[in-house]
Amino acid sequence: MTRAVRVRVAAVLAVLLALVGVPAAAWWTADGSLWTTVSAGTVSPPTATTCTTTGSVVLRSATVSWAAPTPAPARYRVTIAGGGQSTTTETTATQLVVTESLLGGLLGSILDLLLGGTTLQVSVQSVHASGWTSAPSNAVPVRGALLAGTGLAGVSCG
Amino acid sequence: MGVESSRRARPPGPGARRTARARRGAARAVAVLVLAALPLSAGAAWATWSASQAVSTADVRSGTFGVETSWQSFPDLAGMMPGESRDGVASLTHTGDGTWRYRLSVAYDGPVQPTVTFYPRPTCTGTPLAAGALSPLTYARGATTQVCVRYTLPAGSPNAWQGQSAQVAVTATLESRPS
Repeated sequence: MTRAVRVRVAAVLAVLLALVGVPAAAWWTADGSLWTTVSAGTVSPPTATTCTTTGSVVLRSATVSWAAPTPAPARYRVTIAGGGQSTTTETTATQLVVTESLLGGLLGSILDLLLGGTTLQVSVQSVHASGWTSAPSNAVPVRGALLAGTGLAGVSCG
Repeated sequence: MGVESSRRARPPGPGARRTARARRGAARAVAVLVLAALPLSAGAAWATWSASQAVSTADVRSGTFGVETSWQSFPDLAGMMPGESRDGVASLTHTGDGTWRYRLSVAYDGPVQPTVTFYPRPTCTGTPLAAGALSPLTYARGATTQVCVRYTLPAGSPNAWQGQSAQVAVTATLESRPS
């Protein structure tokens, strides 16, 4: 069988297949739907955020504390902001001791603001294990603790 | 009396007998041709008798095909957090005729879109049934089956979903299928 003949045979078979077609399969259908409402939860912020000045007269620090919400989050994010700048740190505890060294380690300019007499605002957010964060808690102010004649002597509340 | 023929009868000879036989054969052939041509001729009448009678008066009626869906175990999907799963069990009941299989699909109306996983059994265990896939079993007319539906809020759900809600529809499509 030559190539031309084979091509003709194939063409004829193709035409026959196109004419005969494939048997159509059809079936009945029926639909039924069930609706439910899904709502995403929210991460509750810490409550009762307070600031307590601790330490000695020559080296003060501000201890910011808060109460854990229910359910308790995986951790807390503490934001220290002022003068248009902010920095954050995370902890699993329900308090954070704010010191000069902490502020200097987080963001030098924040410490500079404190040295310049700017009052900083400290707020706390709950962080869920998934990464979802709560709204911030109420903010508490901290400022540089000035010791007469010696300059800055740590961080204090208010 | 009478006229006498001037010709006298004589017994035919062999040549005359052959001629007569040939003529008779030709005449028969012509007759056959004429008879054969009669039906083809324009003027020929051609009729066929026929008779018919209804054997029975069969009443052909199409069947019906429907589904009733309900929650056998209603899923409480309130306050879901990322990574959390909740289950519900849906009941599918066929109404009408024929054997059937089913497909499942999900649709959302709202910003929160949990992942929905189907299991072709009353518990959310074993091999799931992909959305849009045909059920592994064929069911009898009027049968009821259960489907476990698992809703999972993905671990990476955006923070903006907090406190948001949505309507989630699970649709069962039954298809008439031969057993």
